Amino acid sequence: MAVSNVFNNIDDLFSGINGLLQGKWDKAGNDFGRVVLNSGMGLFGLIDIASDAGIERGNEDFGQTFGYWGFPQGAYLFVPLFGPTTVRDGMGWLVRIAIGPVGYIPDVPARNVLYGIGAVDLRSQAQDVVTFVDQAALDRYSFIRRAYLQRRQYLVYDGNPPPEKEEE
Amino acid sequence: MQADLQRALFALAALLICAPAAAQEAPDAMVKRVSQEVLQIVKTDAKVRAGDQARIREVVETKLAPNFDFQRMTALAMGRNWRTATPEQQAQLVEQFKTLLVRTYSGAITTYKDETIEYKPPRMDAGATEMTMRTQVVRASGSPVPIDYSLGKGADGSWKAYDVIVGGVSLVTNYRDEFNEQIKAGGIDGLIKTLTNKNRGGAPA
Repeated sequence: MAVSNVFNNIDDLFSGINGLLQGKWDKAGNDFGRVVLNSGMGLFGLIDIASDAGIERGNEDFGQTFGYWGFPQGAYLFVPLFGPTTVRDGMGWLVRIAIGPVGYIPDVPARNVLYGIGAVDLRSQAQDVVTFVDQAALDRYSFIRRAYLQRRQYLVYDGNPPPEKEEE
Repeated sequence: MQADLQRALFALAALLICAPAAAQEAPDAMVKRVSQEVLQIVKTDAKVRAGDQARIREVVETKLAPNFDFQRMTALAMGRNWRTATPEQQAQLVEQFKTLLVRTYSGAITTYKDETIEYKPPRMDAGATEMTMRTQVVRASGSPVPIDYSLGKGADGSWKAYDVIVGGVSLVTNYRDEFNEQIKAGGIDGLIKTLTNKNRGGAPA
């Protein structure tokens, strides 16, 4: 638990940076407030005091910033040991890895698979998620691809994506 | 035997009494009632907690499934292919898709433990026949998961869900690609066959 809080604290920092890059000042302020609170009173991020205080976590990242800037998704790829991604999100991860703490990288595959099915921080419930996909999917690859693309679109638009064309 | 009969008659009577009331139920009230009922069962029913598959299936079939419009879900997931299917194929598709969803939900439902559900105030115009009910599943740890239900009002006045959107991932949209690929590869009968095989317990491709 404490370890994942430390990762989350790093995520919050990057979420704040990406909030700034997208001009979302309030969200960025929220994220930086969390980082300051958790890094200080929360013993370098070990304890998530900010959530206890009711400050919700942001979830911006470089892939979303690129989307916000209007870069297209690009091709979808399923990268072994990394999970589902697109060219745009992959670029986002490269930026992140280039400037982020190296110790964070081994966590990327698990995290990215979970991004794909829309359960970002259900890491401990990964087995449940795998069981769900196995049960639900006719074709695991296309099921995860569609879920990942939907999830990313939703995040780029902060929870209000434009409706997809209905082919009723 | 006697007790069984009594119980059956009582259930029938209860059904007859409740049916007209249920038809008038507002969509947000329906979502609240059903989700609370199911959450309560998952948390307290000894058989469900012990992982008794038959009992779990029964809960999903009797409590959840009646509040979903499987015909509409199937049509939406089929997209433009729906109109090219014969009535017999359509009936089979609805049946198999329903079975798949019930099985999937039966597997997922037992992962609930200490969650609570928050309901956002519903926004809908008077006389609307479509609405989205926004909810949030709050867990002891981690961020809340938003779950939205798309609901439509049927000819009988009752509201039924035709899509579930978890954290921005629409169930119906997710199946649209899957169905499309199956139809491209083996036609509508190919899709029916894949669904049927999967429901018989076959492994995913």
